[in-house]
Amino acid sequence: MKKSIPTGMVLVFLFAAIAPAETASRASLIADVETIQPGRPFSLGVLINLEKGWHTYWINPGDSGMPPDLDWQLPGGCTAGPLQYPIPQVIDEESLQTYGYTSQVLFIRKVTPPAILTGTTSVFSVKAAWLICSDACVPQRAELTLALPNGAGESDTPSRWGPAFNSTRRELPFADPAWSFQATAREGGLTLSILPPAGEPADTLARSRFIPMESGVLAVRSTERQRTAAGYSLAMKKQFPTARLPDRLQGLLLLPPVAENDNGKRAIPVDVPIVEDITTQAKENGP
Amino acid sequence: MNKLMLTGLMMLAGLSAIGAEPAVGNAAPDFVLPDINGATIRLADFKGKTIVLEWTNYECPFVKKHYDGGNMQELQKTYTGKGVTWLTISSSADGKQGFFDAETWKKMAAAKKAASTAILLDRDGAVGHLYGAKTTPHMFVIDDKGILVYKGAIDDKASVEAATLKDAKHYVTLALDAVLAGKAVETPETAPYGCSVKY
Repeated sequence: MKKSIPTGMVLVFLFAAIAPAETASRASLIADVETIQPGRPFSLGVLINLEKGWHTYWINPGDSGMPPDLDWQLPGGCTAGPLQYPIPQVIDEESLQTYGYTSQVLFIRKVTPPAILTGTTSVFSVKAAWLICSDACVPQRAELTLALPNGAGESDTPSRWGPAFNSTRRELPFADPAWSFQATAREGGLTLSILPPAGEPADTLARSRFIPMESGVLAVRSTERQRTAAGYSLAMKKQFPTARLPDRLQGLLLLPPVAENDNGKRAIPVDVPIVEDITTQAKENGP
Repeated sequence: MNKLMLTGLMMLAGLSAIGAEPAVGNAAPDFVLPDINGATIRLADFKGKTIVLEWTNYECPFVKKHYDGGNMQELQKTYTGKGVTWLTISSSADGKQGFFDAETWKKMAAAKKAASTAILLDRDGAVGHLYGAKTTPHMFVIDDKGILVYKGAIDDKASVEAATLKDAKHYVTLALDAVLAGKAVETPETAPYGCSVKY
């Protein structure tokens, strides 16, 4: 049957599936409020919509690609928190692994306006550069601007983007002190020991993946999982022998969804010092 | 692909363990590829020279960053002027991004004023896989004894933005300058960045 499909038809399907690069993604600067209030924090977000077949990248793009480059210009007196990256998908290519987003992604930044707002509006802008890839990669650039009226301390005025912000907030990595991690440097790599909280279903760790914040250090594709008495350990090799391990292991432990969580995306941030393997040292230094 | 080249590649396959990419400090595996002018180029013919292998895809934005402002051509000119053999390799498969026929290649290379020793067409990806070329650009430096002394990124700025070229730590020039001065390469390996090779 497969052989009888005319080539022309296949081509039509291919073209229908992948939007041309010029219109494959668009970005906008949005806020979760209609009006900003003196000293009251709100959220700004860069929303990137992607056509089917295209993806853009996480803070660590993985083996290829580029993280979004967002250059923010905030009005004087505003302070802003770090850019928050939603939990990415792991995208496996032939011999490469990348981390990113399809369809839609919202990068959120919490902004606190000054205690005294001058003028009637505040103008926020972002010079955005991001890379989108399908089979090929195309750089995208945009200068995004958002003017919001200055309030005088009235009650909140949620914007129509509220639901988008809320659903993205549910997809942010969630620091959970019930999880405990330890990273130990080993010959040629490191081991991440994971102690899950009681009640974490036994099989989820078997299907977990660790993705590092820093690219080019760990060969995460060759992670070896091992069940331990109290949890799991993930052994990862360095990407190449002379790669230098950082002082801290930072990244995300991606967990498969649990039944009650219809959101489907779960990730626990990992940020622990990488300690030397004391047992090995003791052996080496011993009598 | 002619019979001679096929034999050469089969010999290579026999010599190198399957899936094992050459490690820094080991001999760089030999290969035979046609260049865009139809000549047959064998790596071993450049024995005694310092060699650069540059994986490319003219349509990849990371490659464009290095070519559009003339930076890559300048490097090719500078180092071939110092006796280095610079081989630019395309492993794009037929129908994939960066694949062109030899005539188109000749026109593009001329328009770009490419100054490498030769541009090689690795259409079946055999040499790309042999070296474990993952991205464009992905760079390899081989010393005059045929030992691989650097592999990885061209520089430390994994970006498509031309503005990042100025302050980048340029791993390949550092490796070449060290090798030409008879010194050890300080950073012999880095993780490459760019577009995936379009095998």
